[in-house]
Amino acid sequence: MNIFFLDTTIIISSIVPDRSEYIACVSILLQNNIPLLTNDYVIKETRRVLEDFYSFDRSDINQFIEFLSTKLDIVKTPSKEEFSKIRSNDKSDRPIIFSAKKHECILITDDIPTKKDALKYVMALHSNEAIEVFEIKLAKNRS
Amino acid sequence: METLNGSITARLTGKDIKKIDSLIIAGLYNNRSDFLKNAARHLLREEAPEIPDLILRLQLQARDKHISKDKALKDIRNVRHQLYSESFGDEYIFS
Repeated sequence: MNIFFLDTTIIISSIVPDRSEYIACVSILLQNNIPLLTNDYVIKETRRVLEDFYSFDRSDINQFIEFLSTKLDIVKTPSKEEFSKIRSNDKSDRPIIFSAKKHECILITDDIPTKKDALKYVMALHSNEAIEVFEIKLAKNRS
Repeated sequence: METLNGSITARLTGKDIKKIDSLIIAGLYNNRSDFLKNAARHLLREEAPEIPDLILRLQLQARDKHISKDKALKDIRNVRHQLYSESFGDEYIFS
């Protein structure tokens, strides 16, 4: 069974309607066909970006995190010992690549260097590639 | 996680019921309820999801704050470095 491991870039991009590709991220998050997984590390990153960098409304952030916990299974951040065998150009990507590998997931990330390093261990796709490969329907605005 | 189970009563035409019953006889479904459960699942999968109000609200805030995707990718990278150092006490980011 295919399971998507969502990186922070996908979660944050789903609420940043900068370019048309945000729709791919939001569609991945909202679809019901493919189980979604992430880890605490990604959730912490998401909260910190929204709170400290962008000062989003606190109650909206809490609601969003709660929403994420209904859409994704959130696993524990691995220990340093666990991810020590992962080799990546940026060490801070290792807890993400390791979790995706441990839970036999396809890593979905819009970060090119993370994707490149992850490909040594797991299947990794950009959000637009995931939409195409898995024929995910694009989410729509309420009319 | 909270589990919500429930039953729904549906009124169908005799023609549709006949077709469903023939599929049950053919062994594709256990009973009418099993058929409807499968039909509902199928439809829920097919339906393109609507973007919930919460996400639309956050998107509006992001627009007001002029957050671009490139900026978001850069900021996520910065937060990842901070979080990694705090969580694992490792100052050296690039291996």
